[in-house]
Parts: sequence; C-alpha cells; structure tokens
Amino acid sequence: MGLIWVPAAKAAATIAGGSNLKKQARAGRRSYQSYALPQRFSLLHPGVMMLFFVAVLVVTLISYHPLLLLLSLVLAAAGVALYLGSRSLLQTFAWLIPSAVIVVGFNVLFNRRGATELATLQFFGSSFTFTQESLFFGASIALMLAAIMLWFRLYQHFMTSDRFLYLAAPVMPTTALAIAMVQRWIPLTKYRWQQIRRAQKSLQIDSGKRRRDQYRALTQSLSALMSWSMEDAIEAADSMQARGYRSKKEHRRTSFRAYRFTSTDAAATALIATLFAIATVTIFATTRDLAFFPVFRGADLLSPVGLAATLALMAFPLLIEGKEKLTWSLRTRIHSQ
Amino acid sequence: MHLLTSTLLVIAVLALAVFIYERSRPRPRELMPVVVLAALAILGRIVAMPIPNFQPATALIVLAGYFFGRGAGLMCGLLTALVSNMVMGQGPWTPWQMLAWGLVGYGAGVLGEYVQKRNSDISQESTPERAAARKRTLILQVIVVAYGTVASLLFGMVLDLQFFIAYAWETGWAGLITTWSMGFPMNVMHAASTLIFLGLTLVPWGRKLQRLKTKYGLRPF
Repeated sequence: MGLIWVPAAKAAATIAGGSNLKKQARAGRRSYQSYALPQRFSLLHPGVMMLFFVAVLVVTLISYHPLLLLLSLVLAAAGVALYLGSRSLLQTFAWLIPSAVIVVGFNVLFNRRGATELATLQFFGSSFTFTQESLFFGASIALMLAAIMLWFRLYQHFMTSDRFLYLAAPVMPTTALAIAMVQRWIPLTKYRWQQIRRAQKSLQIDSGKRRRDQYRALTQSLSALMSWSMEDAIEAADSMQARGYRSKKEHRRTSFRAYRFTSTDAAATALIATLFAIATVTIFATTRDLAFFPVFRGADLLSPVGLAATLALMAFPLLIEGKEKLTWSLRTRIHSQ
Repeated sequence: MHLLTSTLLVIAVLALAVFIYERSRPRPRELMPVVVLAALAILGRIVAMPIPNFQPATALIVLAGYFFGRGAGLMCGLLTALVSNMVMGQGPWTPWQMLAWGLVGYGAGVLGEYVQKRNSDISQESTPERAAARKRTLILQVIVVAYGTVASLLFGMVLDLQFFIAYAWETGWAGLITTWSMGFPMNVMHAASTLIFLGLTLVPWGRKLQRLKTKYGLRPF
C-alpha cells in the first residue's frame, strides 16, 4: 500500500495536539512505556478509523466460527496491549472473564439442545441434561463478547470526542452542537456546584448539625445550580444567535477542519474496504452450513481466503505500526552511517 | 448476528429521530434546557457510580420531557446515554441505552402535554375549588413519579433484552425470563433511585423550569 512518509514534525504535532495529550500524559504518569507507545494509527483520518472499527465489529458479529472469533479476540487483545499497555489489557480482562463465565453458564444451564451429554441433574423429580454442544456454543459466544469489548476498548481510545464530533457535525449539525455543549456544561456545572457549596459554607447556611438543616441546604444548592445553569445557558444561546449561528446558507461562515484526508488515508480506506468486503462475503458464503446443534459441524468450512482477509483486516493497526517501526529503524540506520 | 441486526435496527430508529429533530431546526434557545439537563444527568450518573445502578439520570430525563416536550425528552435521553458513555465506556449497549432513555423522555413528554392540556388553569380557579385543584395537582404529580419509576424498570429490561439477544438467544423463553429476573434487583434499584430523586425534585425544580419557560418564552417541541 502506498504509505507516504509523514514528516516527524507533523506526527509529533498531531500526537501532542488535541485531547490525546491529556490522555497520554495520564498514561505516561503511570508508566513511561505507555507514553512512548507507537501511535501511527492515531494519525489517520477519523473517517478511516471509524471505517476500521465498523468493519472489525461487523466481521466479529457475523462470524460464528470459533476460530474466527478467537482470531478477533487475539488481535483485539494485541491491539489493546500495543496501544494501551498490557496493564490496561489485564484490567479489561479482570471484568471480562466474569462476564464470559456468566455467558457460558447461561448457555449451558438453559440450552437443552445438543447430542452429547455432559451431565444430568435430578431436580424435583425432573431431570435436566446439560450438553457438551451448549458448552461449546456458550464458549464461542463468550469469545465473541470478549472480542467485542476489547475492540470497543480500542474504539474508546482512538475515537475521542473531538474526532467523533468532526465526523458527526456535517451529518447532524444541531445534535453535534448539543453533544459539544453538553461536554462543556459538565465541568462548568461541576465548577458552579463547588462555588455554590463554598458560598453556602461561608454564609454558614449548612453549618447546622441537624439532618434537616443539611438536607435543606442541599436542596437549596441544587435549586441554585439549576437556575444558574439554565439562565446562563439561555444567555449563551442568545449570544450565539446574535453572532450568526444558524444563519442563512449564503451567509454561512467557513469552519476550521482539524483533519485532512491524505493519500495515506485514501490507501488505508481502499485497503480496509477491500479486506472488509472479501471477509464478509466469504464468511457469509462459506460458514452458512456451520451448525452447533445437534453436533458441531463445519470446522473445515472456513476458506483460506476469508481467514486471510479477516486476519489482515484485524491486524491492520499492528501492520501499520510495524511498518512505521521498520521505516524508523531503517532511516536511523542510514543517518547514523 | 442477532446483535448486529437488532443493533442496526435500533440505530435506524435513532437516525430517524435525529433526522426529524434536525429537520425541525430548533433555535439554540430551545436546545439549552436539553443541554443543561443532560449535563446534570451525566454528572449525577458519574457521581452516583459507586452505588450500583443508582441513577439520578432517569429522573432528570423525565423532567426534561415533562416540562420541555417530547422532542426535548428524547434528545435529553439520547445525549445523556451517548455523552456519559464517552466518559464511562462505549459498548454495544450504547445505541440501546440511547433509544431506551430517549423513549423514557419521549413518554414523559407525551404525559406532560396531556397533563398540561387538562390542567392548564389552576391559578384562575376560585377559592373553594382551589382545594380540589390542588388535590388534582397532587394526583398528577404522583402519576409523573409513578411513570418515572415504571419507565426506569422498563429501561433496565430493554438493556437486559440486549444482553439476551446478544449472548443468550439460544436459550429461549426460559433464558429470557431468567435474564429479566436476574436483572430485576438492579432494575428495582434504578426504579427506587428515580422514585426518590423525582419525588424530591419534581415540585421545586418543576417550579423553576416552569418559570424559566415562561420567562424566556420557550416552546415545547
């Protein structure tokens, strides 16, 4: 793929800019290693990122073949480990494993289908049979759950709210504006709450020891918070209107575009779209006869093409990071000679 | 597969709702109550996170719908789910939460419009009838709080349904009933928090919101 060399200055600026800075600083405080992680993926256009995540999630959701699900899980875990650090991966697994156990247990307990008996339980005169197939099916679904959660973990890391808004704004301007304003109003409301409580403390309004006084002070504060936020918000809205927000199309002002669609993005889009198409079509075509009940059959149904396309699609972040690392090491070697 | 198709369906409904909302081209003024209430709801959700499933957010969404119309309630629900998940973690549940909370707000809006049509002129009534009017208002308040409580339960059931469709659809009706009964204590917790929060805030905050509506001439939408 025609990846062009991105000047290091632009790379550094994009990594350092935007809301990623705080996140990385936070991660950096935890461990130096996670600060120095490669982030070529985060230089892509948000649309390409979104396409990648949609493609990966759809492929994971349409595949029932345990091998495909395992592949998805492993590559998602590798991505999380690469971009967020192995500690983050372990933290995710800490709540992922109980959820997976619940899913497996649920399927074993309530799914009576399947031919191979695992255990039979006598309970109040009626017998319940648990089957091996339902265990296997439950395990596959649990794999799917874990894979989805890990992909969403990566989504959360890369699709920051500024990127999401960048994509949403042309499609749904009012809603995107509302999202941005809600995000602004959260810290603002928090700040105002602190101000109100501080003022009340200094006026000794809630200094009473009695529960009732404290409750009264609390409701008063909440009431003040509500009026303050509302009145101020409406003033902000009026001022927006006065400055020409939502004016006629011919007077519409141009807006700043934070991301540019480069030729690298075009190449990445083409690659992801092609792999996605191949993977979906082959998975649909080949695993139609896959069945878990009464006995599992179709282990051999997976075509090598579909498997390769899925692998390449899901390994896309790993591949571009690897390529980046390779370029870096080659260049530094050339320069040092 | 089931998760994919059902989620696509949910997203289609959400897209339709957002499309209709965008078409109505709301003024920034009319956007603001939604924004403020959604921000408060999200803060409440984040603050109450240590207590399992204690959600002041639902009460605020009901308030938004009840006082500012069904569109406002719907948008407040959508925004609360979407933006709070930006903080707390997106997942396959996000569209479902958006839809469920949006419907809670929408229903509150329908309820509010119905109530205001019937109960428009309390202040104009003469003294002996005042007492009767006050009683009626009290009954209506109880109805709103009850609506919020039931809606919270249903909200939880929709999310449990998402779990069932995604990971346990093979287990059939027994599995669905078990899913709901396993989630029931959590949903009761949610409903109780809405009951408490809405019961406490409906009258004082309602008065404020009503006053703001008159003061700034905000139409319900």
